[in-house]
Amino acid sequence: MFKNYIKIAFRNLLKNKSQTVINVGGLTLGIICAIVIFLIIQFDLSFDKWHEDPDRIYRVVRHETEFGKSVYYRGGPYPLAEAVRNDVTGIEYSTLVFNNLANEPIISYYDNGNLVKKLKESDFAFVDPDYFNILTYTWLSGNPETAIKNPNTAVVTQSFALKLFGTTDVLGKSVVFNGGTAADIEITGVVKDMPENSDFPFTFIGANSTMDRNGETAENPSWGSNSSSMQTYVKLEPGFSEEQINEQLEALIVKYRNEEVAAELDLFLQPLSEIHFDSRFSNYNGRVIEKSMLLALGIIGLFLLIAACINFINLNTAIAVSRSKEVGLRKTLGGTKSQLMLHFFGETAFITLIALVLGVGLSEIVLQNISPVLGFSPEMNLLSNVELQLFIVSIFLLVTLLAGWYPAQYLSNFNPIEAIRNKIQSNYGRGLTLRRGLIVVQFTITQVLIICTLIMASQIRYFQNQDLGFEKEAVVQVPIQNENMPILNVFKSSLLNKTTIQNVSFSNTGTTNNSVWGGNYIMIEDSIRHENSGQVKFIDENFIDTYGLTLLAGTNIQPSDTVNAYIVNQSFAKEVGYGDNLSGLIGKTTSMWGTEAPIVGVVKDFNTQSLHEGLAPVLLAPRKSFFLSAVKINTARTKEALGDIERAFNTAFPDLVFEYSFLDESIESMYEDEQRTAKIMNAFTLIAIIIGSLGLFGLVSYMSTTRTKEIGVRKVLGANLLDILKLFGTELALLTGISFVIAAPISWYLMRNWLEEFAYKIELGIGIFLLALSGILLISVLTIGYKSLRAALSNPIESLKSE
Amino acid sequence: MIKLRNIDRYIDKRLQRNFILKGIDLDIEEGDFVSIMGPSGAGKSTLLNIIGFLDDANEGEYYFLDEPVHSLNERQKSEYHRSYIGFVFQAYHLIDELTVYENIEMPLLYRKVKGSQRKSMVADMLDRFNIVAKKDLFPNQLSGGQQQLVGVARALIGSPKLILADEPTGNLHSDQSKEIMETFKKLNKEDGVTIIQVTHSDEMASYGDRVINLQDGAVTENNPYEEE
Ligand SMILES: Nc1ncnc2c1ncn2[C@@H]1O[C@H](COP(=O)(O)OP(=O)(O)O)[C@@H](O)[C@H]1O
Ligand SMILES: [Mg+2]
Repeated sequence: MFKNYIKIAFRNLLKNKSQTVINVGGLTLGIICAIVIFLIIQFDLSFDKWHEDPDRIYRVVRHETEFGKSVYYRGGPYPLAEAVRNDVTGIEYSTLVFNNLANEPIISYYDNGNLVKKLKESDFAFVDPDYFNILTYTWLSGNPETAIKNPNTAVVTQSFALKLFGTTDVLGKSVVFNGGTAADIEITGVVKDMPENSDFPFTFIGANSTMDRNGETAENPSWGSNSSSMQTYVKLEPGFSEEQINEQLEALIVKYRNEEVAAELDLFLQPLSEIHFDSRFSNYNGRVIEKSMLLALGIIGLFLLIAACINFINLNTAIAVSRSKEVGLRKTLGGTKSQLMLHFFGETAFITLIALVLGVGLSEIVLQNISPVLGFSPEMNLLSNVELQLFIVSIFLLVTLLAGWYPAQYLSNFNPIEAIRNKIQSNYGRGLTLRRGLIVVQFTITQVLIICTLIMASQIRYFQNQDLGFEKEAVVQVPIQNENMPILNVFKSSLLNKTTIQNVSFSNTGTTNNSVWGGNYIMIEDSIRHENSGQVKFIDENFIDTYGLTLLAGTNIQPSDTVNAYIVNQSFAKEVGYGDNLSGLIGKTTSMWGTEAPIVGVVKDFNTQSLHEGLAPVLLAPRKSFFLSAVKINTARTKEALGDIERAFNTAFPDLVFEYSFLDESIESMYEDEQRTAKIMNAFTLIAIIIGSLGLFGLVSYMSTTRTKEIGVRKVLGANLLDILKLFGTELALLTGISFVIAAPISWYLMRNWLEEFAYKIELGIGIFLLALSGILLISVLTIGYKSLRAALSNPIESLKSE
Repeated sequence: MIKLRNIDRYIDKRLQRNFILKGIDLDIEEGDFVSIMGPSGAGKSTLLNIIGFLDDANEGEYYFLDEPVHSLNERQKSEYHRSYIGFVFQAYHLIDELTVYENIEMPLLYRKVKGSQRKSMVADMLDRFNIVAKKDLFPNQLSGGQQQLVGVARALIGSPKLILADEPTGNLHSDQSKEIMETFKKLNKEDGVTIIQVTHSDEMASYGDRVINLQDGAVTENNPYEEE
């Protein structure tokens, strides 16, 4: 019996090719989306779940109240890890994880006594021996218990060993951290690389005691200074609760600092399972995704699947008419209603199965190419991924039920005589209403996606066109780490000799960076004390020209080894009451980090961070604390200029590794998240449009074949082309209108929330909504246009002859 | 076998009740070969449909094998369709997506006949109607007469006790019609199959033993041949 069903299903598929393509194609698209989204969600949810006792592992994070504002930090004071280990009961292990990202270290190794193979490595950490008792590593060689007990030891990952030495047999070899300025570090262990679903992607894990000895943490040894490059991770003893530990952490602040500080500062535990999802704190992987985003993604996937099922339902109930004879006959031959239901379910299941097989295969291809968009690449592992298998089975059941139930119910309920006589009309009451309802659902989904995508695109365009207060073009930034002025000057003058180079500037950070140097500025005038948080940049006299900042009042700074003057920005002027009198500010003194100096100039506001953040008061001051050089090049000769810079760099800094980035590209990359989201949304919107168009096309081509006779009669009776086109168009326009009315407020609400995150954002005007509406109307017209035009233009005699 | 008492079948249209069948009393015994005749629109098909459980009467009583039909549920009716009643239609009504072989085989699938047995039964049928060579063709590749032969073969494969044929020869040439009628007659005489057919042709009616004349939904003339 079942074979018979399949046979009929198969022949029907071949007979109605366009309908098959629509059913199978649309469903396949929906299934690809569902599977890919499932794997993304599964991937994100799997982060660091696989450590031993993951529910006993925590990070100690910090909450502070600054100028009345709640701020969360992932780092703490340097001595915290040890204090937690010694003073808090219920802690089994505790470790500091130190990774100073401002200084990207260079690692080299000895070959016959010569230092070779410089390697920039940002994925490094210096930790306490407990680290390896908290996070789970697979050891290839070395002893986990003793590996980093002694100073100047480190454990490296397989890939690091291979990259540096070409072998994993590296126990006992030595490397030099930071271009020979630090002591030799012995490799005492090799571990497997962390899987991709970990927020701890370190490849070089050194003994924290090393840093003590080298004095690298001497700058921050106190309880008073916190840094996000000093994080504390703990593993609780079984049976202890988060609250029990949090109370003791509070007591630590009182003990090592005072009651006053404790009032404004909380230390508390963040579970390991939250590190990937809590956007208040960053992680070492750099990607935090809120669970609500995952939920949204899941909903989109579900909706796309539903949209695909809707095609299926609509098309199958529409063509049910042409199958009514078969249904009637089967009943007269003794087919019961349940058998017929089963039959049609069988057909649906069969089509679903084809779509699933195609969908799984194509998902694999999508996954292999998705990493440029996502920034990571979830894997399918169909054979071992039980959750995926269950998911696929559920898709199968869900789609078969969703898409099969109604057509099966509808078809099998046909009265046999009426069915045999082909009396069942295509616009058979209930079927039509349902079909319209489903089209509205589908159009609504598509329109919400279109509107959201358009809004995202215009927000991103807005970012790109926003005046940042400086010239981001033609600036190449090259990290340097050298405070030796003679060498820096040689580098600078050798560059300025080149015709490809227009200007060179040294500073601690560039104009715009995700991490800013900041503190509180104080300005006292007429015994009124202005104190607020501000940002500081240490610059040289070429900074303003190189970055194209606009000096609105006063003069540039003079070269100096210490802070002897400040240039401030408009926001600063506004905050201290000189918003309208910039030149009045010249000569006034202010202080930052305890250094008092006169204000010599005021520059136009410029964005020091991504446009998620607003403007802030900024102080620019001369001081030789340079980590970055900015080179303004002649863009007509970019390639040549880069060559010149690299040569000058290698001559001046033989120990450093040359790296560069274009300022405009680095700024662009601050919106990677938004661009990634936009790209994903684009893809989903496109798919939703394709699914919707497929469905419409199927319905209209079906309508045009079933209604050719009606059209013929109407034409004979004098209807013109427009009348006939109206027949197809009016209903569609109406359905589009209804779904727009539903979609517009939903997308408005969603996008308003999304835009909340940006300090600089577009207005949600009516224009963008109307654009979306006309877009979907255009798509619908294009989709149905051809078929309905052909039907309208057909010769009435031809269509009437067939009766 | 079939006992109809005072059967009404009507359609309510606004305030008006249109009777398709009115006050039908009819007895058909096992082994009868009955022809229903009458003008177009007289209600012949409706009557046949009611007899075959494809339609329900609005009023009156219908006993099939002494069982009241109104008390049969869907499942029981399907059961009768599978194993007791065979239909032959004027428009053949073969399933276009199935081959000749598969069309004939279909009732056996609903009866859950085993594969090997099914094969030999279908082969017998193909043989009997001389259409072995056509078994892999689809209905639209056959002539009308050939399609109707397949239709009859399909009706017969379940060895029904009752065949209901609504103008089975309506679309056929006289040669083809005779062939079908001979088949019916043989079935009736040799296998004792009860046959009820609707026909417009006296010649076709003469193959049977009894004619029921239907006019405006009522039986006007019953059993004219019996009186001869
Ligand atoms: N479902 C129905 N709705 C309305 N009228 C019907 C229906 N079925 C049959 N009729 C009417 O009942 C009458 C008898 O139909 P039918 O039994 O097909 O006649 P015959 O087979 O004798 O030509 C016809 O006038 C037909 O129009
Ligand atoms: Mg009739």
